[in-house]
Amino acid sequence: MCNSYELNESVRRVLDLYSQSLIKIAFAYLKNIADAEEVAQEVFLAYLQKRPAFENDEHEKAWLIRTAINKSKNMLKTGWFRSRNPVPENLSYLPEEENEILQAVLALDKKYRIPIHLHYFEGYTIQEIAVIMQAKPATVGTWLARGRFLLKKKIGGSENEEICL
Amino acid sequence: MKKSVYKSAMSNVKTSDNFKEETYRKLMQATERSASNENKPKEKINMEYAKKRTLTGWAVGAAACAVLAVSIFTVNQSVPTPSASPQPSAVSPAPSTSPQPQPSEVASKPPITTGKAAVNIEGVITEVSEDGQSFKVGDLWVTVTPETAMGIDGPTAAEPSEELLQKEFKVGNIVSGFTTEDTGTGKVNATRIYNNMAPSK
Repeated sequence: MCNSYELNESVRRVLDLYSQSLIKIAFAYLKNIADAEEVAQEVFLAYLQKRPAFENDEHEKAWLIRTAINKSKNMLKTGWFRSRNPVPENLSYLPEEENEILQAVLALDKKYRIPIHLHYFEGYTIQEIAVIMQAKPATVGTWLARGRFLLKKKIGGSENEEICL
Repeated sequence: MKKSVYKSAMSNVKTSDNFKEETYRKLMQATERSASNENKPKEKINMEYAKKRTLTGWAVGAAACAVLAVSIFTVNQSVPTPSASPQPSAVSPAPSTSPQPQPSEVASKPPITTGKAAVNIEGVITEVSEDGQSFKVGDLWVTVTPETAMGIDGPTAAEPSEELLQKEFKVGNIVSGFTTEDTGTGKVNATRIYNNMAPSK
């Protein structure tokens, strides 16, 4: 049981360390920054209320990402989220190449886009992604390969050229 | 190594400037709220609420019982008592003048199939037989037999007098009594004769 000071310090630390990661994974899921930030806040609230014990920092980060994915799924299922018709996120301020790549990834099915995000943004290996997504490594490898293939078709490139995300 | 374009793009996606501060503030508020909720005497509030509900329940139940009792009392008042059933009176034992049985009373009693109907004999004698034991009242011939009871009986009956109950039936006398026989035949035996008196002059 930690006291109030330790709790505050713990909350500040995870906020500093994982805010951007959680917002970005939720953004990859929901395609909206405002919703992504709301999900990230809910994740931190769950962290504060449950106060789970972690083996190390990686375990802690994996738990937060898994919670963010679950909460994003829950938000997608809610009636108000389905009923609304949001304006697509304005990413025109990004450089053209980045904007094109990001729009192409966000256009993918979430089954492919989440492993791609975890691999190319967070730098997780297939095994680590499999643990986070609670799937078999072979399945994750297939998702990544299909995602890359779809991106290659969309962005362009020759058959033998390795896609650079 | 070429820098990942996707990572760069995602990193450049703008988020709220004050996300951390805002989130930290909300988390602290949630912590304070949960702490204050833990300190609240929830059980006491629940017990008071339950007590109020119990009292309300008892009050409603008592009111319902009172209404039920009043309605039962009212219904019983409107139903006639068994003592009000028709009985032949001494002076005028006519069943036709007795109060009509209520529908509920008729429904509750089994049909009477063996009882005798008492029919009043009342009027002026218009004809007397030769033996003097039969007389005619209206269209009905009435015979006085040894079984015919004479006079009025009962604890409150007046003493029999010759004036009210003459022994001899004469034309013009006023008689009253009743028979339990079928009057449809036109000739019956009298069951009781209350009065046989000369007309007043």
